[in-house]
Amino acid sequence: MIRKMSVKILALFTMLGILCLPLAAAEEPAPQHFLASNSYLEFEITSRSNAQWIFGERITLQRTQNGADGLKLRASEIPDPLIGYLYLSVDDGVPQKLGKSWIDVVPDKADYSEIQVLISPDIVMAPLGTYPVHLEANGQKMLGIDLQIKVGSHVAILAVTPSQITIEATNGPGRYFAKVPVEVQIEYNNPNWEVLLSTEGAFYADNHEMKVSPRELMVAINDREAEYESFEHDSGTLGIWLEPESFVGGIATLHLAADIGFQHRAGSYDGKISVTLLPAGN
Amino acid sequence: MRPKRLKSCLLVVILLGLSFLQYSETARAAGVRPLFMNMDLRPGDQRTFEITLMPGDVEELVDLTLYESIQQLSGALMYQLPTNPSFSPTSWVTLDTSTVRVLPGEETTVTGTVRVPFTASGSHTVIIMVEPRAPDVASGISFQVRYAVRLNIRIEGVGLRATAELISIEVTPDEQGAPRITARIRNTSTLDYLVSGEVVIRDQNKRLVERVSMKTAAAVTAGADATRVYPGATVDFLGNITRPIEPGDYSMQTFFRYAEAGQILQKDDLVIHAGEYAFPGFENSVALIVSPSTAEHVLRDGERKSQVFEFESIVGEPVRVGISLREVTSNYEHSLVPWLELRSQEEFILPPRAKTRLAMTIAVPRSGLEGSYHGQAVFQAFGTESNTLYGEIAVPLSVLVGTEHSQALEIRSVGSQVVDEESIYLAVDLYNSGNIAFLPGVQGIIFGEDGDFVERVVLEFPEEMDSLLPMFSQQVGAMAHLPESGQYELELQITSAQEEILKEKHTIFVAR
Repeated sequence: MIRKMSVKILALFTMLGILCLPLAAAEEPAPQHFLASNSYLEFEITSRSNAQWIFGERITLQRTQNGADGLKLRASEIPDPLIGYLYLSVDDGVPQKLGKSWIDVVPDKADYSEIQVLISPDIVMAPLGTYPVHLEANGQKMLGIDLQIKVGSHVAILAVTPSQITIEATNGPGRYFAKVPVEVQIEYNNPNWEVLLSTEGAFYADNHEMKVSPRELMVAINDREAEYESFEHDSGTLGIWLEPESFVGGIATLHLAADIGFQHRAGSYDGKISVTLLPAGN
Repeated sequence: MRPKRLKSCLLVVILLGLSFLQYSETARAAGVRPLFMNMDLRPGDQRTFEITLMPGDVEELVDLTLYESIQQLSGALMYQLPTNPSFSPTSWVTLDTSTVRVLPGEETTVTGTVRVPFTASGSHTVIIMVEPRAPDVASGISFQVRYAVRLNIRIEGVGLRATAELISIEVTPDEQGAPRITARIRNTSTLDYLVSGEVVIRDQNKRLVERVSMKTAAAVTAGADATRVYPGATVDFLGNITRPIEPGDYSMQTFFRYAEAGQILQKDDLVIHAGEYAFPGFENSVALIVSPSTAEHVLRDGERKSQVFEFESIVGEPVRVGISLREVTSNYEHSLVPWLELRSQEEFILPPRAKTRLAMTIAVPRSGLEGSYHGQAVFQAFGTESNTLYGEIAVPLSVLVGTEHSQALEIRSVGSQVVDEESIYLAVDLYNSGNIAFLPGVQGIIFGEDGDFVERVVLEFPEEMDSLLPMFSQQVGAMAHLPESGQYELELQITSAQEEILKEKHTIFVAR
């Protein structure tokens, strides 16, 4: 009995298989209803753009077969470091964030539209690398569009703020501190850089004999209570080096101080502190 | 006189006006690309290059000035205008403009040319200092933002050879009174190269006391092991003896490697007098016992594995334990650290003489990696009230992945140094060029000039060393009994698990 049933089930599956064979054989690529004027775009990002967007080439989408259904696009997968930076504009409309959600690019019954991939200038903050992104069409109505986005090395000093501070020494010899810290803001996407703080000191009027020397000028990094490091070390080494780790959230806070002694004549001292960005290592 | 000076000083109003006139709260400075260029040239060559200035929010006038670099004792580079421009490599470099106006929204390119004289050779560095011009400041101190674009020019030449000299080595107390070794090294060649080294302290019975890694201050700041030393520069390499040593006589075996195959070997006596040095913090450094003291795993692609650590306090007060992960060296291609995830807070309080456990996860990526990967779990013990660092324990972690494992070594250099009338010290610098950690056996057979067998020596790794990590170098050494001056042939046989993986012959000279 059981044996007979098994034979029947086997026969049934065999018949179903045979019936399905022509269907499988007939499976071909879905007909393309739309054609894109360009299916491959390359972007190379090496510095921050001052513009609101980095614009890709305009791509024309044209209906090639009769029909009324519109066309949607989405990114099948966006590499994690690029999430939030890629947008799509349709017919110069408001940029829409590219992601898993479908974006209407050709409305129902329309035959034509123009799209443009837009990239946020903040993409310079993404890690170095070459990232592929594929835009797919709904129902395979169009071949996809491939984007190749290369993010290069980027590092730049954005700002040094505030615009002015003073250290006032009014009570005789001692260490005097700037009341306001100075922030150095750096934007970077790689750790292959360092910053050198250096000075020749502050000079009394134009008299280079009278000065607050680099040894007497000092700075504490990120913590007012931290040890103050002189611009000239006891060993004679000049300058203070800041590694990327000192820039918490891209900002290093400098607390400046000066050691004032009997040798300093009353008056104003002028000078310059250089903030030099240089490649890491020597 | 003094009261008058004091009165004068009391009137001092030093206004150090730190003016950032060029950069307002929201202003962006111009950026520069690239920050360095390497050029391998020949005498008489001419090469052009480009520097791109990226715009800021406002129009900027940018000066480009050629500077020389000077290497300081700390190993760091400083920049100065050429003191004798005619004899400076800056005279080989011309820029099509020295001042450029950078407009918002528009990158600007400056073209430069390097013309190498026919008589030039060796390594030279020129700095192109890109300085956005700041408005004149009436008084105070202004901040000047600069970008130092480094041009490394290396010129081929006949007979160029990297040479170095150990000028001095001394042990002195540091700021805390601990013994600090300072080795001063000069690059006596026209080539630049990387230098790294160590000093091995041994007692009178030749037992290892401590192996001190020597680094420049610049390398310590940058988290690097080696320092690039430029032609003619003199640089100090520093290292602290951290283990307390009793007064007595010791020896210091100094070893530095430089360039591809250079090495400096020197042996010195070290005499420690009573009370001469302090060893701060050491008395509490055993506040904590952590087990295991090392962890090794064999894992597959994508596999996750828990690693549990047990902590035991052996002091009668609470201890704050800080947990961190540490690379075995910076930018290490075989780093395990990115695969490690802590499953706890980064610190906890361990009650007096109590025990506890914590775990971390090792998550191997699915990327078909091969070889052994390494990192360290670091546990620091602090006093809860004083916040004093009692000490730290670094637990080496390693994971072996994949199946294509290669044990390969390169001999970077062979050196010898006469120790006394009968003996020489042989030093061989090995580099693990394979993809897994292992500890090879190194044996040397010494033949005389006539090819006769003289002696067989076993070159030993440091006693505490379990394995040589991939991409790491290590010096191995042995004493050889060679009382007669002359030329010898050293046949080095390197084995792993009793299989020979390398055999090389080197010539050594003994001159007394």
